[in-house]
Amino acid sequence: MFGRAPKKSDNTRYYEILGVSKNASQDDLKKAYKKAAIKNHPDKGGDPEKFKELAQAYEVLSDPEKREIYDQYGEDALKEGMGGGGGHDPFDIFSSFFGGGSPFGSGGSSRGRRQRRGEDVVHPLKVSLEDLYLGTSKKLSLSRNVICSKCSGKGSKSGASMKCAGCQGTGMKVSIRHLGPSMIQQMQHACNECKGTGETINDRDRCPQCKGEKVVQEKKVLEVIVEKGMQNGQKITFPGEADEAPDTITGDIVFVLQQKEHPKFKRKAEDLFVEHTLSLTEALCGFQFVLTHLDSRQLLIKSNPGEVVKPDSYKAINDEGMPMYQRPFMKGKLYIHFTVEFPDSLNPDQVKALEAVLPPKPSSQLTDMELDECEETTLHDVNMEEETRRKQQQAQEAYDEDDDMPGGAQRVQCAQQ
Amino acid sequence: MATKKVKAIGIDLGTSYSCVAVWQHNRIEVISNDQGNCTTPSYVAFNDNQRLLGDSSMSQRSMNPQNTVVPDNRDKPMVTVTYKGEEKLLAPEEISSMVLFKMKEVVEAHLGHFVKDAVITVPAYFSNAQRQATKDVGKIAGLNVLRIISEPTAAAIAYGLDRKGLRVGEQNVLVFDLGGGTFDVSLVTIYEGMFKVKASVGDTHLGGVDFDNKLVNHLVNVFREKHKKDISGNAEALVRLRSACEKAKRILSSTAQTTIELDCLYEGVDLYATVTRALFEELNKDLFMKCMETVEKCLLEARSDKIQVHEIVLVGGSTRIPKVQQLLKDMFSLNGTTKELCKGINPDEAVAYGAAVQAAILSGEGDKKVEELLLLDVMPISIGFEGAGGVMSVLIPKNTAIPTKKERVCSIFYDNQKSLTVKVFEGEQVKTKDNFFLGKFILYRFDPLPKGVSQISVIFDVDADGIVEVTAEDQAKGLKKKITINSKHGRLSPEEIRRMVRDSKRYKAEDEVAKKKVKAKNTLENYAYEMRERAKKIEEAVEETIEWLECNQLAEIEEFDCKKQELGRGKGHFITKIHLPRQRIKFF
Repeated sequence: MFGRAPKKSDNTRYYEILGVSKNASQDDLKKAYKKAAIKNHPDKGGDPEKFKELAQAYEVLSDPEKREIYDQYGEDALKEGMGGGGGHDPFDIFSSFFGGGSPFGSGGSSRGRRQRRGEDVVHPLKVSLEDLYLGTSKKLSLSRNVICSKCSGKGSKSGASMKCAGCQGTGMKVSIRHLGPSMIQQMQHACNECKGTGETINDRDRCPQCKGEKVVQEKKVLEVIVEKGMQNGQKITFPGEADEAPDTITGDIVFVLQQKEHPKFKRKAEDLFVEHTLSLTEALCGFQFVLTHLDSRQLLIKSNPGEVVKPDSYKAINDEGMPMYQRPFMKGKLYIHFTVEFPDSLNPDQVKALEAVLPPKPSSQLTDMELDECEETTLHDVNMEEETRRKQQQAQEAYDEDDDMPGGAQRVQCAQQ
Repeated sequence: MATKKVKAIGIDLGTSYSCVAVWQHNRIEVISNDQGNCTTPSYVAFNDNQRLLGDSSMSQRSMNPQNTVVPDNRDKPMVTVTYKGEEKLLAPEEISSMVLFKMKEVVEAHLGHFVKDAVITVPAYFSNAQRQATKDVGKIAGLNVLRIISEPTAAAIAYGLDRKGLRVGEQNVLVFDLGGGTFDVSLVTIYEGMFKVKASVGDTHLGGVDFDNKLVNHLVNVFREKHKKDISGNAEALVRLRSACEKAKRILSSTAQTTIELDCLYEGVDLYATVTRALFEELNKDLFMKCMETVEKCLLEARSDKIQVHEIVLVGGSTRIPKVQQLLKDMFSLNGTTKELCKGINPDEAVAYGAAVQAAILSGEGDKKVEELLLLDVMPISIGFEGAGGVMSVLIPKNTAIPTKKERVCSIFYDNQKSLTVKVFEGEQVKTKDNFFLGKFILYRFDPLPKGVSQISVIFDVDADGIVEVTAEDQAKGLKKKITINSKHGRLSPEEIRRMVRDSKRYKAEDEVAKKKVKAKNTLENYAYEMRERAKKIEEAVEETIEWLECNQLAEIEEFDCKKQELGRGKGHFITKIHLPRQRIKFF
C-alpha cells in the first residue's frame, strides 16, 4: 500500500505528475494543478493516492527553492535533506550553492549561518644567523585537507546533508569538566561528530572520493623565503593555505622564525656584537687581528698607532652589522668589546725596566722618620662576594640583638663613636 | 407536487446560535425554524416536565437559569441540570448533540422528510481530536457526518459563489468571523473554484458574549453606586440583565442610543439606564483592538500584506457592530483608497450556506456551478515526530491541504542502536514537550550498524477526513510498523457514545410524549370552550320558548307543535355533540 518509488535521483516525475514541461512557469503549474486536483480529489470521486502525489509535486515545484533542489538532486534529496532529528535550514544549502555568498544577493539580508573562519596552521622555522645575514629559502612538505572536487565539499552525491544529532546543527558542543568536588567548568568546543559544521551525511549518499568527509588529503611543497635582516619571532604567512572546509574561510599557514645561537656573534636588532681579548702588550703597544664575518669575508681589525686600548672598552665598525629588513643594502654597526689580559706578577728586572719607560710614580709626602712611626700592614687576597655576604649576615644578627636588649639607645651611641 | 428529496444538509453549529441550509431548487436555501428565525439559539433547557430546545429554551432562560445550558467548546466542562426532578450530569458533547438534533428537526419539518447526511462546520483552530469529537456529536444526534469543515472555508465558499467574477484569477479573501463566543480570522485563497486556507488565527475566548459582559459589569456597578445593592451574586437578576444588554447591543448597531428598563430587578428595585453607542464602544475598546491585532497576526502567518487582500468577508452576528466594521475598514484602507467590506452575505447564514454547498458536492447534488468547486481542506495544526533532543520535527505543517502524504528519511543516533521509538506530536512549539502527544510505536530488531548508516523512512499519511496514519520502515531490512492516530484523548469512548445515543433516543421519545400531552391538553381546552358557547345558545333558545308560552297561552294546536319542533332541533344538536366527546375522552 505504501510502497515507495525505487530510490533514484529522479527529477522529472513531479513534472510528469502535473503534466507540465520542465521549464513551466508558476502560472502553468497553478493551472495544471487546479485542473488535476479537481479531477483527482476524493470529493470528486478521484483517487486519494493520486491526489497526494499531485499535492506533493505542486508543493515542491511551486516553491522556487525546493524546485531548484529537486531539479539538481531529485526527490530523495528533499526527503533526506529535511531528515534526521529536526528540520534542516534550507539556507545552508543555498549558502553552499552560492559559494558562501548570500543567496539573495547584496540587497537581501542573509539568513544563513555566518561562515566560520578556519584555523591557521603555525610552524616554527629555525634559522641561523648566517641565514638571516645572507637570506635564504627553505622547502617544506606539508599535508593538508582540501575541498573534495567531486562533491564540491557537500560530502554527499546529492548535495544534501542532515543536521548533526550530536550538536543539533550548531557545530559547537558544551562539555562539563569537574575541577573539584563542587567545581564545574563549562567549555564550548567544536562538535567532534561533525567537526564543527553542524551537518552529517548518511552513509549511502556519501561521496566515494571523500567518503562523506567533504575534504581529501593533499600534499603540498611550500618554499619559504627568508629575507635578509628578518628578526627572531618574525612571521612568514601563506594566506589560505591551511586546511580547507565547506562553508569555511580557509586559514593561513604561518611560519615563525626562530633564530639559532651563534658561537661568535650576538645580535641586537640590526647591530652585531663580538668579543675580543688583548694582551697587555697589545693593549699598550698596538694590535692587529683577522675577524671572519658571517658571510665568510675576512676583516682586518687594526688599532691606530699610539692608541692605548683600555679594558672593557668598545670599538665600532660602521656598516658591518646586520642588514635591515626590506632595506638589505643598509646595515647596522659591528661592535668589538675588548678585554685586556694582565700578567699575574713581574720579576724585579722587568719591574725596573718598566719603571724606566713608564711615567714616574707620585712622590711620597712623608719623611723616613714619620714612616717609622706608622704601623706596618700586609695586603692579602679577598673574595669580594664572600666578604659582602658575610657583612650582611652580621648586620642581620646585630639587628636581632637590638630587640632583646633594653639599652638600644646606648648601642646607637656606640655606633656614632 | 412532488419535491426532490434533499440528500445532505449543511449545519453551522455555533457557540451561541446555529443555522441549517440545504441545496434545493438549484440554489442554497437557509431554513427557518418553527419560530420563523433563520438562526436557532444553541441552548438546551430542562424543567420538571420536559426538555426544551431552540427558541423555547431561550425564552424561559430568565426563569430557569440554572437548568438552561449552552455547549461550551472553550473549556468543555461537565454540566449538572435538574430534569424531571432528577439531577443529570451532561457532557458538552451531549448538549451539542441536542442542538444538532434540533437543527435536524427544523430542516425535516421544512422538507417533509427525514434527512441523515450532513456537513458540519467547526472553528478553524479545532484540532483533529476536536473534529473527530464533533463527528461523534453528529452520530449521537442521529446524523451521518459526511465531512467536518472549517467555518472560514465555508464562509469563503459562500462568498465565492455569490460573486460573479469567480474566474478573475487568484483571490485572497479575509474571513473575519466574530461570533457569540469565539473569534477567528482566516485568509482563504480562491483560485478558479479551488478554496484553500492559507492561515487561520483565533481567540477561543472572545466574542459577542464578552462584549455583553462588559456592559453587564458596567450596569452592575451603576446599580451598586445608585442603590447600594450588589446584584452580581443573583443568577436570576444577572440573566435578565444580560439578556437586556444583548438586546441593547443589537439595537446600538443601528441606533446611537437606547434604554434598558428592568422592573423589579433586585429586591424590588428597578433598573433604568440609558446606553449610548459611544459608551458601548468605550467599554469594549480593548476587545476591539484585540480583534485587530488578531487580523495582523493572521496576515503575518500567511506571509501576506494588507494590499494583497482582495475582499473581507464578515461572518457572525458581532460583525454588525459599527465600530468593528470601522476599524476593519480603516486597517485595510491604504494609499487613500477606502476598502469596502463585503456585505452582500448575511453574516449569520454564510457558514451554513457554505456547509450546504459542500454537502451538495459530497452527495452528488448541485448544478454545474457547484460541480466546479473544490474545497481543499487543510491540517488545522502541524503534526510531526520527536527528533533528537526533544525537538519537534514537523512533517505536515499547519494549513497543508489534505489528503496528503509526507516522507522523511532518518537514521539512528547511536552506534548499534537496535530499536527506534517514533512519537507523534501535534502543535506549533519547537519542543515536543510543549506540544500535544498523539501516539507512538517502536520499531525493533535493527541490524547493528554505526550511527547514521541505516535509513528509516517515516511516512505520515492523512486522509480526506483528517485521519492520520504513521508508518516507519527500515528500508534495508524491510521492517515496518504502523499506527493510526485515533485521537482518543479527550474523546468519548464507544460505550459512552452508545449510551448517549440511547439517551438521545429516550429524550426524543420523552419529547414526543410531552408534545402529544400538550397537544391533547390544547385540544381539550378548545373543545371545552366550544361546548360552553353551544350551551349558551341552547339556553337562550329555551328561555325564548318559555317566554313565548307565557305570552301565548291561548295559541292553536299547530302553533304549539311548531314551537316544539324548533326547540327540538336545537336539542338534537346538543345530544349529537355530547355523544362525540365521550369517545375522545376514552381515547385519551
